[in-house]
Amino acid sequence: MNIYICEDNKKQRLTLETIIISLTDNEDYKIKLSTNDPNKVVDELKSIEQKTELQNIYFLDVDLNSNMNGLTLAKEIRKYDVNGYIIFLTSHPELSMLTFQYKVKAMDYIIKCSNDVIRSRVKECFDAISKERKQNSSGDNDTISINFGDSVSFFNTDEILFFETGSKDHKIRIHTTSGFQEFYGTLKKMEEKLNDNFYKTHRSYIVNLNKIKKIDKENLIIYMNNGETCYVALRYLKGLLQKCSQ
Amino acid sequence: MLTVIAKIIYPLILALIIVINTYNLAFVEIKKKNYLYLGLLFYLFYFFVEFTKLSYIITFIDIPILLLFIYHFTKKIYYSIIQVILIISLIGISDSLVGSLLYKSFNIQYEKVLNNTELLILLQLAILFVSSLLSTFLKYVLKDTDFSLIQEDTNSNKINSSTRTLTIYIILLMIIVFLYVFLLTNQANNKSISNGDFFVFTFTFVSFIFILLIVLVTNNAKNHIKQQYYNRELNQLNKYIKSIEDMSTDLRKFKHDYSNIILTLGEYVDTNDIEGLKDFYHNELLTESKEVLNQDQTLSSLKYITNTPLKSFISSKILQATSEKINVHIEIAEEIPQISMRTLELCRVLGILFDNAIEAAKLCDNKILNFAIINDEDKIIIVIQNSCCDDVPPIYKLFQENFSTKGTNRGLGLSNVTDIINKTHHRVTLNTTCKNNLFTQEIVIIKNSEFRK
Repeated sequence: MNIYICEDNKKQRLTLETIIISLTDNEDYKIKLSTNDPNKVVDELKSIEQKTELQNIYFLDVDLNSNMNGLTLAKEIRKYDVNGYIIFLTSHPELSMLTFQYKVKAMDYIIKCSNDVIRSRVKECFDAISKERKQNSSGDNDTISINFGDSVSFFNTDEILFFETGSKDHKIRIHTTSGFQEFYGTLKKMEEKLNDNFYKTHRSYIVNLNKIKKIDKENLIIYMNNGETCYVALRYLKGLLQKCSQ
Repeated sequence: MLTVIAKIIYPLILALIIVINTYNLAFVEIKKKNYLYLGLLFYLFYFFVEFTKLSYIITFIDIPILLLFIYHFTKKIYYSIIQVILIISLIGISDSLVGSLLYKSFNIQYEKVLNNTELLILLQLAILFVSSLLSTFLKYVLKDTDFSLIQEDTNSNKINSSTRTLTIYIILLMIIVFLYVFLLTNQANNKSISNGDFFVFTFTFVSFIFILLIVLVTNNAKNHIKQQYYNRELNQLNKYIKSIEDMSTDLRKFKHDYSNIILTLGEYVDTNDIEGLKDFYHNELLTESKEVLNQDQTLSSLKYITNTPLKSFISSKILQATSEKINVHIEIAEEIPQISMRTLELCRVLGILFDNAIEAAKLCDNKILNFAIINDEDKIIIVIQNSCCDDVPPIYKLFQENFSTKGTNRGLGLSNVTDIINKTHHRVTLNTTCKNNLFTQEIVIIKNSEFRK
């Protein structure tokens, strides 16, 4: 994986490079670009030919003495690299973590107070990155993308229990193992994106078959692994049972 | 001799009836001396009528004179009409009341009264008394009622939704009263009033009073609630002001400490004492600066919320969390535009979510509450995160009605939240997740197309 660094303070940039090199000695990470000019980062990304499947690591300072600050640079980066890991460094605690997380899906937000702290936080980031890479490479981890308005979120199909639509205004609620999220869309469009593990059991529900614990045929209730319940309509019951026995 | 006095007093009483009632039912303040002129005018008029015995023209002249008088001083034709209707119907009601009481209790015939001046005077005095009583009563009831057809001042404490019904009711009543008086005079000419008529009349009268009472009560209730709301908002703003003042004091202290540090550093640098400098830096400066950096300037970013009630509400919730020794972290990085969700409902939802977050964080060792408002191009995201313990029940259970980890007879908060969000809004969603002991609630409000950049 390639690492890009953008930091306008020369001394801090060199320190960061040293920290990263010391942490990633044995791995297949390489510092591709270390600069104080955000435009160079963008140009470098533009020049890469195979743009799909780009996934890099970016260490960006929030305050860059340039026409772009860290946030706008991150937004530019996201146009080319949707899955990359962006890590911010700053000495301002106020402009913080959550905002950047939501706006550009920043992975982490490190406050520059002492080198030891920076080093340990960077190490945490690398640990998390390698853990995620291992998870992604093993098994068929399908992710589906869902549009929340202008922005896109990715869900691991393994975490999805079922989709539910309720009220009349085309709102779909995804029930996952860690909670639920709502967005606007139609079940029909969802069906097109999902694979065979999902089946429409009711006009308001699409269920992940891998997560079903038991089906109550008489009362037409499906019990999921975590105890949640959803429903199956009579006309979908037969198809559901067929699919489950496969 | 007596009849001469009577002839002078009688029109006076009539004039008084009109003037006092007009004064009591005035919507707009008119100077008292103008009423004096009005009284004089009516007195002369009634005297003239007495003299010429043209009593049937009274009502026809009364109304225009009153209308002109009120219109001249208020310049509002609508108010003038309503007021005149009220006055005339009030006098009519008093007249019928007194009259029917008299006939009922004393069984006096109408013609007898007409010729007996003393009795007439007594009658009119009674009418004066009753009508003044009623009009004073009405004055207090209608004191805060706004009779305008169009509500100009939305902040005013007056109600006007009852205006139209009240006007219609009064007109109907006036018709009934006149009809009734007409009936009464006809009947009285032939026989005394039957019980049925008396009953009808008192029933109408009582229902009129009843309607007025309802108006009075709803008026008061509405004012009371508005007052409570204003008081609460004022309290919250005061707390906000106090916390800003506290922060300003903290800032002053910090500046003072800072200049001390610079002085100390300067001394080490000037005397070339590197060891001492290293010592000072590692042992004292670093620990102190960590503390300062960790102290979050919590409330300053609230300045980006343009909606004042929302700002004061959020600040009071944050202060509540800080008082429970929870580490609060607020992020509002840029100005938040007008949110396309009604403030009252947003505050209700946020109130429930904040209360839940505070109660959950209190139970942890590491008490954290994160609050952020993020302004995206097409949506606004409000995030409330809190640290939570391991034994959090699965999320779908938390949203079930009557489910609560804190005891019986509770647990309606989150189900209320989903009700509010689903029922009233079409562009609001709620996302709930719990991962790694961090419980997150996100309210996503999609901007209306007018509000987008």
